Amino acid sequence: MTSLNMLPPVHVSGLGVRYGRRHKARTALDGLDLSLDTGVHGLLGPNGAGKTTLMRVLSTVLPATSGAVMLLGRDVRQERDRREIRRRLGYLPQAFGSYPRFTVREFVSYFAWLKEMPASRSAAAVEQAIARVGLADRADTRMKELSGGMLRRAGLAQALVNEPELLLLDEPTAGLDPEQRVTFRQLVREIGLDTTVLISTHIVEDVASVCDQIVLMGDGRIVLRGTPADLERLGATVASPEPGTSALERGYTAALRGAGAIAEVR
Amino acid sequence: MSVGLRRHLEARGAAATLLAVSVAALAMAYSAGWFKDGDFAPGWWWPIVTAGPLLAVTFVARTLAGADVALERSTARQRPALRAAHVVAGLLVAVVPPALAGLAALGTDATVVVVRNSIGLLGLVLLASGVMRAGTSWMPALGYTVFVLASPPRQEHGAALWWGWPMQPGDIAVPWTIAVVLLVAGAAAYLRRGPAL
Amino acid sequence: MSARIMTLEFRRGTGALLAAVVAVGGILLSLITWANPDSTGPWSASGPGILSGLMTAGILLGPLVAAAGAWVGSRERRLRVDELLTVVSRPRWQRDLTAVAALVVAVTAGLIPVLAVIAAPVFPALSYGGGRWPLLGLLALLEFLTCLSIGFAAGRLLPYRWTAPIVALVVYVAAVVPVYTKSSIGQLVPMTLPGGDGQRLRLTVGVQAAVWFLACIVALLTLAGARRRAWALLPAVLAVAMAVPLSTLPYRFNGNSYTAAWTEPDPVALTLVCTDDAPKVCVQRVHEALLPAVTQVVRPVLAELPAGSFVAEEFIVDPDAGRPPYVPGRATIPFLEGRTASFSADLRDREWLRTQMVEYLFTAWCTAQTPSMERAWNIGTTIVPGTGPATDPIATRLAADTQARRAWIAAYLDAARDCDRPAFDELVRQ
Repeated sequence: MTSLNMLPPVHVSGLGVRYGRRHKARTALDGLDLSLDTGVHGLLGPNGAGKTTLMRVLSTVLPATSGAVMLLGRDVRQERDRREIRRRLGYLPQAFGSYPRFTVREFVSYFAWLKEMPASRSAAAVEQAIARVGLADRADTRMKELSGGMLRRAGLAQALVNEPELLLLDEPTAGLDPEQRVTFRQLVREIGLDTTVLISTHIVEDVASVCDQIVLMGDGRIVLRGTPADLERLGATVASPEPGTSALERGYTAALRGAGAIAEVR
Repeated sequence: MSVGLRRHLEARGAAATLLAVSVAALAMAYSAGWFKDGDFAPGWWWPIVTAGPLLAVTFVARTLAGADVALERSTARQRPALRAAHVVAGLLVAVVPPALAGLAALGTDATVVVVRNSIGLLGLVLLASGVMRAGTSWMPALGYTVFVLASPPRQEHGAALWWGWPMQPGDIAVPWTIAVVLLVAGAAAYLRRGPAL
Repeated sequence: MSARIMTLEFRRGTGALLAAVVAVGGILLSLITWANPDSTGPWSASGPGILSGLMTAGILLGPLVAAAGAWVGSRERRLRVDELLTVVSRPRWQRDLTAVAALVVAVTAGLIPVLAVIAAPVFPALSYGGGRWPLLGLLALLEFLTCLSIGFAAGRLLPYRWTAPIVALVVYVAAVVPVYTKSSIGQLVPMTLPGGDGQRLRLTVGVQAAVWFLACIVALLTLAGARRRAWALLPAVLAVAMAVPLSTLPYRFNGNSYTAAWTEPDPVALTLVCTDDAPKVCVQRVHEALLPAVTQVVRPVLAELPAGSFVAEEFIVDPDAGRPPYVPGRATIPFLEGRTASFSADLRDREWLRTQMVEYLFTAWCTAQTPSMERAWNIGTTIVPGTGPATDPIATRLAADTQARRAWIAAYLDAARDCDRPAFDELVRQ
């Protein structure tokens, strides 16, 4: 039997999530097994593959229909464990609202309080999180006055403020300009040195430049696990139907089209 | 009815609004009947003829803007003519069901007050929708109406006609003038600028 | 609870707006009441009088506070922050408590200027704090907190766009319907709480009402914010246990603005305070500030009465009480509640006081009235200086002859005391 302390930060086995009831029921995740260690992991897959559902389960928003989810060595089904996990978790959802009249600093500091950060550490952590996402000069701007990209960065700051051990980012670079995207990648690489980061994205450049590992999903299951280099290698073996596609993009498409290709890579 | 128009009505919650206003009108008629049957203090009908129209225009406020005002502004159909149609339809929905309830349960004098209050309060909501989001445009009308209800004017002349117009009898000109001016001003502002972003 | 986060909630949430709305609405309501010449002002030189003014403002402010509560309660869904908030470790009840506490601060901050406007003009003349006024003050605060909790719970459980205005109207209807129906269930509604000059809350009823409101608040907030909503049952049961005896109390106005079941005469407030010089004029301690004005009005009447007469404010008016106990030489000033001019410690209507006092003076508590008695009453009430005009020939004659008039009045009072019909006949034969 595996000791809890020996478990990786994310350990999911037989995870199933079903939406709806009876004849309207739809399976979003189907018997999924996944373990993630420290480092940056990219979660790829087409629309409707179950990425956001997985992110929501891992962020403790959504309970699993079946299977076990252990995060940071604790069981999400237990109320006390869940609270402890949430103290050490950072989550940026795909779409989120904010308090329009709060300033960026107030928004992040409110989340520091919600994540039960000690007051003594809170103020410094808020400033640091705002600086890390490059919003220091906008710290006193109200949320309703921020552009889409800035709002996303403020969201990222709230996810980082408690110095999480598990960071879940759903489409974090959507709306960021190229310069911000480069800064973001540097930031995630830095965080990934001692944190488990899972990034759900469609932007393969992000995956190639920051992720150590890739999890490719299709139809509620994991289709492929490997490194970006593995996917590139797979892409190199198939001919490009469209000019201008990268090897990584071709590998992504090939992996989704056939399990044979996966076996070949392995 | 064209598919486009049907979708537009759906997007603005037309059916739900009509249902909600009808329920409000039924509640007016029911409460009026209940009060009539009992031995109550005179003036019991004032809260009904004031709060009923307020409820109706609050529901109508929801139809003044779509889910995304910016997106709607960028479409070709968002012309003053369409907004005018919304004002007319909103006016009908805010006036007719409460007025029918008034006729059925309260009598002519009270119904005249119901119609006037629906008109004036809708004007207030239209004015507010130009400066605050449609979702919050009911706030000034609510605040003002509750204020007048809590401090009903005791005179039927002088300043009370102006500040307490919703609780004045229906045969006085000044409250009617205020209600119509509010509606005209609100409709003009709404036709010109549309709902606030 | 973090004061920093509460400040944030207050400044950036609905708090600041609510405080402004409560302050402006309450003051406006007071000004309208003041400007209205027919209104009986809530102002009086006593603690309960001031608090009663504040409670009446609840008919306006209660619905607005409830709307603000619903607006904040439905905020998470409206602003689409519910997913972000689901994954935070701090329990929801702590977040809710902070949000509600910010609104409580807002309501309190908004009520302070309203209270100041109501109380400041009469404060220099405050003669008596009022028995159990802190309890009444607590009930006044709980009145607003109950409205707030109703709104917050409704907003949380029904996070729709129109919850706030509908809740406001429901609270308004719940507040006014008992006023029109005079139903005993109205005693559960905070806005109709009793308060009156010279009265104090009955301790048992006051405590029961406080527990009723508190239990409702706790039940509603638990329903809105607790992880296990079933816990709300406990305070709900307590609320019902308090509601049953309260709603079955006889709901009877006894001539003033309080119900007999809720209040009892406050012995200290009803102590008579009199002028030092003769002829003696006395008012109840709760109206002590009115003594100079009352003295000015009643002394000319008192001068017409037999030597040794004095005038004193009567105890609580009770229509069913019948003939008041006879005290030799005593004339009566009607109970002065609601007779204070708004925003002052002065009398609102001096003419009224003179007329009422004279009418009281000449009231004969006899089982059957004869034509002579009625004529004598008409003569009496028009011959005292400052009343009139005298139309009866006897009255015209007496009005011009001070000696004869005073003798006639003395004879009338003797006849009235004993219901002496022949004496009345004699009075109108002269």
